[in-house]
Amino acid sequence: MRKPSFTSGGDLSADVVIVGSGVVGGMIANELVSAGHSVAVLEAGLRRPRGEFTENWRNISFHNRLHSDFQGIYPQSPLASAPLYFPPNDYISLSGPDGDAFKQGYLRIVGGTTWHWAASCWRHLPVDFQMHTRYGVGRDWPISYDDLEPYYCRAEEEMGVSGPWDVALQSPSQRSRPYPRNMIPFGYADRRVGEAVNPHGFRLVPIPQGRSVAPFGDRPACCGNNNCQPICPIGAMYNGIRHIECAERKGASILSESVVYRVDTDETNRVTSIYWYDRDRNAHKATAEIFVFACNGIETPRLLLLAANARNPNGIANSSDQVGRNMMDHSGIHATFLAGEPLWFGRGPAQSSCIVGSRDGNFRSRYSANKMILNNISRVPPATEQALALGLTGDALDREIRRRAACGVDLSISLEPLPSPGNRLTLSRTRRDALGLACPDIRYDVGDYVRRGTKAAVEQVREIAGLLGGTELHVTEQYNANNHIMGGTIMGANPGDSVVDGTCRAHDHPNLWLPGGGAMPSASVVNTTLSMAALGLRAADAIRSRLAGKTS
Amino acid sequence: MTPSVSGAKTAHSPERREFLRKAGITAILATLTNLDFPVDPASAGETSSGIEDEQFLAVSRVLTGCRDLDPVLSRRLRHALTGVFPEQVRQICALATTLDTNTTSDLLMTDAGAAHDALLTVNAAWYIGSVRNRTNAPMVAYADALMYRPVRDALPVPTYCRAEPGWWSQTPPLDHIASPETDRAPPPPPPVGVLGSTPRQSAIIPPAGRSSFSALPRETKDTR
Amino acid sequence: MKCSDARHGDRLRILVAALSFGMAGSLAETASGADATAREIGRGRYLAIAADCAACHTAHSGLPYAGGYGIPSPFGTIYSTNITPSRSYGIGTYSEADFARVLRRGVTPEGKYLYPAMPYTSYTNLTDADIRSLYVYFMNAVKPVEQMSRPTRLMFPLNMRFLMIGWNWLYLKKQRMAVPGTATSQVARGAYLATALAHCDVCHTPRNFLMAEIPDRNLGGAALSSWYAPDITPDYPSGISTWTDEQLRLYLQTGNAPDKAQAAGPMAEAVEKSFQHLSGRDIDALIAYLRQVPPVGDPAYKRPRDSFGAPSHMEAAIRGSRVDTRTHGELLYSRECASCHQPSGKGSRDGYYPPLFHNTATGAPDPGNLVSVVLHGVRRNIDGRIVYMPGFGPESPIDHLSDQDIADVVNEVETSFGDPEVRITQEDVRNIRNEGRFSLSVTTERMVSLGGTILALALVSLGIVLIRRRRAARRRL
Repeated sequence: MRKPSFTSGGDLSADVVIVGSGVVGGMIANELVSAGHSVAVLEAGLRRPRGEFTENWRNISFHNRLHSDFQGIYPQSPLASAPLYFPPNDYISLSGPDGDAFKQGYLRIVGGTTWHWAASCWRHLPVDFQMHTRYGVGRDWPISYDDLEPYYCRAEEEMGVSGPWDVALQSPSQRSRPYPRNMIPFGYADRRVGEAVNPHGFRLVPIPQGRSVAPFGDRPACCGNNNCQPICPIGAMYNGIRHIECAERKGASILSESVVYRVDTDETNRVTSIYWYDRDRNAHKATAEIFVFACNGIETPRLLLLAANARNPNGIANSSDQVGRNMMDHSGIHATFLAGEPLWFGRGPAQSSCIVGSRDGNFRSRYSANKMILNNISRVPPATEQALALGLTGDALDREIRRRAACGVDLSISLEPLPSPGNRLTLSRTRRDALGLACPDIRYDVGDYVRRGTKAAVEQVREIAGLLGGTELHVTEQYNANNHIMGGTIMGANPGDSVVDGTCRAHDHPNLWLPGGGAMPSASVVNTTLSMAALGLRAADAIRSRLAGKTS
Repeated sequence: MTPSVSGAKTAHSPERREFLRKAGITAILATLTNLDFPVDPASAGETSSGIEDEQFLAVSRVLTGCRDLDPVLSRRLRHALTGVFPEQVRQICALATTLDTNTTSDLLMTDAGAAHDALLTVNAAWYIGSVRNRTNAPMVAYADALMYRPVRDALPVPTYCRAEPGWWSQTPPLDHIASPETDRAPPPPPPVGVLGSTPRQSAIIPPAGRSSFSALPRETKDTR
Repeated sequence: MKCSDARHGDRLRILVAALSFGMAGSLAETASGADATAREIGRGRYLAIAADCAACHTAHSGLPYAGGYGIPSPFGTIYSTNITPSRSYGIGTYSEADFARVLRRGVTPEGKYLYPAMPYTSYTNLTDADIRSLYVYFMNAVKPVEQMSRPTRLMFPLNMRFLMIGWNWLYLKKQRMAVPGTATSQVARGAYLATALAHCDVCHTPRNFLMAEIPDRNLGGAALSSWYAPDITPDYPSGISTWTDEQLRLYLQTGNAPDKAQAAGPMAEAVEKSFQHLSGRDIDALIAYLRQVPPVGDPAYKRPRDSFGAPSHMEAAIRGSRVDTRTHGELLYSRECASCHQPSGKGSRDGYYPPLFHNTATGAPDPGNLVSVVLHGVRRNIDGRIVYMPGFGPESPIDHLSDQDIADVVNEVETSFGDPEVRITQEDVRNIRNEGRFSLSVTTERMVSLGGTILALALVSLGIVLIRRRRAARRRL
């Protein structure tokens, strides 16, 4: 087992240095340390235990919980804070027609943002890789679904995904292997809504999820404590920390509170070393054969721009000027209504089923696809807030809370933005973080493709609410972020208009990989984590081949 | 006896209420700035009046209709509310003398007069464990918040396991769903799971570690 | 996830599948042979399960009966052997007489003496018919595994296996067990099951300084690495006198006697691999037998273990309060335990997550089982349904608690739900974690006394060997 070596001054040297300790960085670290390479992971944020997050969630005010302050329970390093909103810390400045739709909730902490995901493990559809060829919009990927399919399988194994073994319930059904575990059993609400809407073409299917109802290895069974977001208290849901700890046990070094800010390159534009600040603001240097930046869709482009050097004056990996452009998220809307019968959302994991009837179709040449998650987070807090707003007390209050909690529905509707160079992350000229590093500015416009898709989605929502006897239908007017950050280090075959190749290696640098959501050239409408993990595993294979070629 | 207490026996003008509201916010400000909100009477060294505790609990029991409210929780809640809404807590305690006739929540509310808002504040606090509409407000109850009681035959209190894995595939209780209590519709609920728009913020100073990113000096020690 | 320890459950699953498949395959072959052999194999399989051979002879990731399972002892780890019918590495060349001699006398055909980790002191009581069935089963229905199991290397002087001659001379009974003539046939069956097959005494009977069972404390409770196998005699308060037959039955068949006890550690393994597969009649026979053994009793018990504790109301007093106004144990309980066992400690309403009060693990005077559960968790596969609690030690998939953390949370649980007089320290946790011992001092004491007695034992063995040689020499003359 090879381990990174450290000098007395705290500089390090390893075969591979990975920046970012989320699901992608963790999986790559685990793959490469398992292959016998020395690996160091540099993470800007703190390292804290799960139980602390759980307890923080129980201890924050009702108002924060009602408004989903998922960020606030994760302690942030004063030197590298995530964006916070209670109150806003203005780490990211947003502008453009839909700037408010880009209020991303990602964590800077060892283990990354999958601490507070809901474990939805979707694959892109095969056609999602060919948006331009098939629908004349957006971009094609330089790789096909078939190229990524084996890695989807591996990522599902790594995360212990439960998904439908019934082919008719799969989206997509093109699979070389079955899901590691069969689908999480539906709750009553999933069954009842399916009965009501499926005859009308809406196609409700189980969400593939990184959890299971029996132990998966040493991971406990999900017991439906309905708190996937913002923290699974019992570790039944996959979190990126699992791979970080796995890699660590095999010899990887995990350095928390280590903020990377500078990149040195040689005459062939190989990355020779990177530099980081420790918690005492002392600078250190890391040298390696291979560097991987997997810091998330905002922090990776930010770092590439921050680390501009004499040979790369517009930023690392940025000869195409595409770093920080094409920023995407599944800008979404929410629909709430009261069904005409009790459905009892809030039993089981936070997400369970999803309406995918409009995931694909010829309409995609004109407007955005959508998917509608039946949010399964307990309706009790919003029901109570509403019942209290009516001024009720005593038995009447109890009856109204029960009615609203039982009948309340919240649909989370994701839309598909197209990559647009104008949706751009740049470095702030005025705002700097505690280390003096420029904060990100992001301009964002969801675009007419999404706006037209929204109209179609709202029509569908009205029909669904009608089928369920809905009253008090409300659709949010402002787009919300879904924390599925894509596009900022976009993948392509042509180095002139893209940042990375099909293995997520930077076109400009022979030994720098930028895997994760930033590489994705099309967003589809599904949560990005499984695709990010698959891209990460594909990058790990490429890195392993490179290192093997080196030593042989 | 302090002047504010004697003032509590008279009806307040809207200005006075506004003043008290602001005073309450100021109190939140002060306490959160110190991160030292004394929600634990013992640790705060409170000289709490046992009589007021009993009054507060007695009124709360009638108001919420829950006879089994926990006295410890009640004491902590009264103490927390006193720090923010001292006037309202005094109004609540004063209602204890009316409980002979005000034996139900409805009667109590009908007869509340000037204490109407105070009763709603306290009622909300019992149901949600903290005051409404206040970011980062102090809180005293999570699983014990009364909002989970009307649904406890169907839903877990999030973060706590309910039963063996897969329990949720059973059919939930489908009875005891009442008709709407009123024709009025409340404001729509906030979307769950995402930050739609940043909710109203109470005017509080950010706790330590949530600094602004505007003009921080560079203090790094770059040795190279 | 390819973490070294991550796939335990799957391994188990695969193992069980492989086991049943292997057996089915071999059975099919033999079914074409005589029906009598098939019946014999069926009996033998049942007996092998009742004797729980797989518990030791199948390693966690290993093939059925291929050995390699490590049994820690103070003198080093004893690894179990390959008992598949492999002719090179297993027992394929054994005659039935060889097989009987190993089971009853602990001596292999090559003359090698087994350590008493192999319960031949129990199996010496097996009937000829049962030995025959076991032999037929192992030779015909177990798939040969062509691999050598890991050799056992104990520290000096116990690496000299001939010392076991002396040990056997002292402790191995020459005659099979005698059941009192007054015993009912049910009690007799129970005695046979408990003593010859299920070898309850191996764990539940305390041992002397030479690791031999103390006869007058039969089934009276004994430490077993970090676990404690309690008194299962009809004693009050330490034994099973407060258990109903139904509770004992549930415990043996499912590992869970609601509001009383849940099996973890080695007992969970025994339930999973052996007791749940026994017939209802045999379980009842075991219970009938245990009901009539002489009560032993442990003076450390003041009350039955399951009589301690009550629901906690702490949640109302602490929620939202500043972290530093709560004890570290209270904080850890809320963080790590309450999500499943509830703030009240009542567990889930269906009992899947058990209550922590009225629970033998928290009410025992020896906190070894509670600490072991916190460190290593619980896993029982009952009829394909896995009951699992993760551990919270250094390899935990949930949160890593330090030794001090575990001491604090265990003390908190004991105070709120268990025997409030039980107190443990960080050092206790460290010892349990490192050495599988509750108290270092006890180990040291044992080691010191062993030093002297091993010398004595060596002399006795040497004496026996010399006498035998002399006799043999005389015979030759």
